[in-house]
Amino acid sequence: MSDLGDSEEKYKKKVDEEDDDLDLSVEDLVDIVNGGAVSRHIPLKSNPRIVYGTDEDGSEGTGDQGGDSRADIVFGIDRKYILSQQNKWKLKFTKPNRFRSTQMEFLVSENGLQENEEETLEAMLDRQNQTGEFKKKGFHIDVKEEDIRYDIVRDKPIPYKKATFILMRDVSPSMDEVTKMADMVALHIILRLQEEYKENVTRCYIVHSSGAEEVSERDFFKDVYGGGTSFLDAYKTVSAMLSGTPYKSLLGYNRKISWADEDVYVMHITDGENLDPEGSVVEEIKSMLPKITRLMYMQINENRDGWPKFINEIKQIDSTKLRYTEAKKEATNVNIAKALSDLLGDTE
Amino acid sequence: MKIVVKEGVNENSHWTKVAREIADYTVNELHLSFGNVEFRLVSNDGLAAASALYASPFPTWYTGQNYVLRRERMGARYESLYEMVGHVYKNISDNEEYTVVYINKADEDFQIKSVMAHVYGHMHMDYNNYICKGERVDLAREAAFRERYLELEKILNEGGAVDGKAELQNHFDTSQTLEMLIDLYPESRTEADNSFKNYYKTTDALPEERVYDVYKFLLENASMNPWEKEFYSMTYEAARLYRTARVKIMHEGFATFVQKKYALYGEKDPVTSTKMQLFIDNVATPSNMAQLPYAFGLKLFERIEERGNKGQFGFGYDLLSTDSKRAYNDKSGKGLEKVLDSLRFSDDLGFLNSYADDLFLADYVELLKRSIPEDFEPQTEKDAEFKDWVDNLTTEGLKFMLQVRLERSIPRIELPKNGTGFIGGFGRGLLLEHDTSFIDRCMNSYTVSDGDKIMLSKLMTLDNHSTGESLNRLSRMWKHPVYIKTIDADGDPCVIGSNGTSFKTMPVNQKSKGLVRW
Repeated sequence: MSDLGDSEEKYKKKVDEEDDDLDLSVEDLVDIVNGGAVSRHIPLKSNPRIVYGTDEDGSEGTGDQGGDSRADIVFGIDRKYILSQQNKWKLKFTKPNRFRSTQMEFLVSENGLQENEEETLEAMLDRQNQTGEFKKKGFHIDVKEEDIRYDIVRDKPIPYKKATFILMRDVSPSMDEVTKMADMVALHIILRLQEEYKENVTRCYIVHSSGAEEVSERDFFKDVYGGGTSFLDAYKTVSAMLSGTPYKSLLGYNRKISWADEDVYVMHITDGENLDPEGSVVEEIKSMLPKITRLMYMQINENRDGWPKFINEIKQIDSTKLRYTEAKKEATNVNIAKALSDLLGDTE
Repeated sequence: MKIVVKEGVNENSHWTKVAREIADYTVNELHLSFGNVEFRLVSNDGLAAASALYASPFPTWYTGQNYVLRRERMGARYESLYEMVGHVYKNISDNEEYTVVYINKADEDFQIKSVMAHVYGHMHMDYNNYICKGERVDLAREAAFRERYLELEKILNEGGAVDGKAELQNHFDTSQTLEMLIDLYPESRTEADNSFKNYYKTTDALPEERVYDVYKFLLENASMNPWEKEFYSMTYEAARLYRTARVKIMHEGFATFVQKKYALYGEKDPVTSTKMQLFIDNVATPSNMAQLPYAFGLKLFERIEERGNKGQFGFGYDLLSTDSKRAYNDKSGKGLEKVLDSLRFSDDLGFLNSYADDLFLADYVELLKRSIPEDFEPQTEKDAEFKDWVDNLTTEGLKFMLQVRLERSIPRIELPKNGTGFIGGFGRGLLLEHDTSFIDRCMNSYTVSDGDKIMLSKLMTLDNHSTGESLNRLSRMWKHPVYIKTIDADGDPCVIGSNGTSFKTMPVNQKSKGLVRW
């Protein structure tokens, strides 16, 4: 196998670079998020040769070599493939560290526990000396609990092991053309979070137009549009989830997110059109900010100039928790990679 | 002759003993002759890798694709690759040359034994057929090509901002376009054709004589960097294997013939013998045209043996009537001798013309018709076309199909005398010619219907996108326009030309002195 070298990687790279056949639909990526995989048939690639035949009859590749027939290669696309694609895009994401609890960390010296042992022995000798035991018995190892010594103990920040991802999408008619781009970026983010949190990621879906409601994953990725646009109701729904108060839900229940015990990511996808007073949205976001890990705002509207006012205001309150991007509407790999980097990638 | 079977680095003593017994049978009873063989028992994966590297020794996307394809198809049992005769190498422990043969260790025992017999048939061809003898490739040389390829990638990367892998990849892709432009018939050239001449003369026109190896001509005369020239020299050498495509029917037919002989007469256990015969029937299926080399080749060798045993060769025999021919039998018993003699100095076309007489072809047509069950229901358009073709097939139709298939395997492209430099009507460039003389051979040798003539023109034209793109690459390599004279789909002369970025087809104006300007 070693004689093959990196031939297989070169072939896969060529497929990645050239093949539209590997383009995934939103449904494909939802399957992959839910642990499934999709397969694609990739026609065999060949270099042009001087061969017989007309184009309409299909000119042959190598002529009659006998035995071999044209075939496709079946390409499997699963979570691992998508994550490796993200790595090729140089997407780096590290879970933030939050002080959930403390652990005592015992510092050790360069030669292991020697320093602690040394201090413990010294303490033991001091005790023996003071009590006269040393004088009576001479040097002997007899460590009592009171002798045991540790170096500095300190708090160690532990990353959370669980996360909740709240995805909000504007379903006003103007979002019709940009659905695929919006959904692909969101699904990529979910996959990344699942990788980082070892799949302990709860997903919540909110759609908003003139009002807002929680919906199922299946309904979220259906293309249903209508109504005006209100950001406020969407953010109020998130706040309700965080505080455990009632909100409108088509799932038949309301959830309460234990924000103190897990990371909470909120992503808002919109074209930027908002009929609410700007100030009300800012206040709502300000109140939820301490409870969430990150707010990701994706605006897809090539005709819109600039950001909603609340973006600048939130930046001034806590820029570390806010990430935003202006995305193009075509769901190409280049556009998806840029949006991911803006929203999820580690900052320098 | 030494035979050994290895699994990993160790010898597998059981299979070595079996392989030697089978070799003894083929040598003593069938009079085969070949050199040392080292069988390597490998997994599906190993066989897929060996097969991919045999097709191309370079670590490129093409090798990766072949490997992935084989691995998947074998893993799903959609395709079975039982063996692969590889290259030769010098064993340093005994300083002798061995041919490496890969066998799938996942196969059943009877399959492995049967395949060993098949392999010995291939080995005999490689050692005795005049075309195969000249094209045996050294494993060490292939390994050296691979290492040098990786070195070049590294050197190019270190040389600057260039993506070394991508640049070398581009050259490899071009070499694939070139590889069918080697001289497929070197044995038919005269000493004068092959002698080295000084091509660099005061006039612009090259070459002095007609060139049959266009790849070699470009290698020696195109303007290239030294490392590019080195690279194309390697790929040129690797491309020589294409010459063995001319003996595909003989190779597989004879190997299957030996395999069947062993199954019938060499294998002592009757159950194993039956399994082997069924195994052969599955592979050499007349109704599967993809398996034509196996099925047709086997039947033809069996017919040669039968005729040889009955003395059915020679001038006197040829003068007999059809019925007398069938009845003739002088019991000379020289069947095997005739079979071995038939494969020495021929390619498939010569083999077909010499031995596939009308009696044999008539019998094969009947066999083909019987191989399709009466209640067969075509599931696809292709199936329906095939059934229709078989139902209406005649002896002459079969011979015509075979002749077309063999003549047409790889286009013969040549560079005529003075085919470069300033070409009348074209300006500076390279003017290639497509040898279409075989079309006359096909048309004149048979009673060909108008429908067949139209079909033949469409099958014999080079006027297609793939050819055009190939000329684009050749033009970029030659750094001047490249043209090729061929025929169009209607059978009329035309020229396809490229300036390196685009190509077009131009009709040939017979009346004017030159050709249409680019």
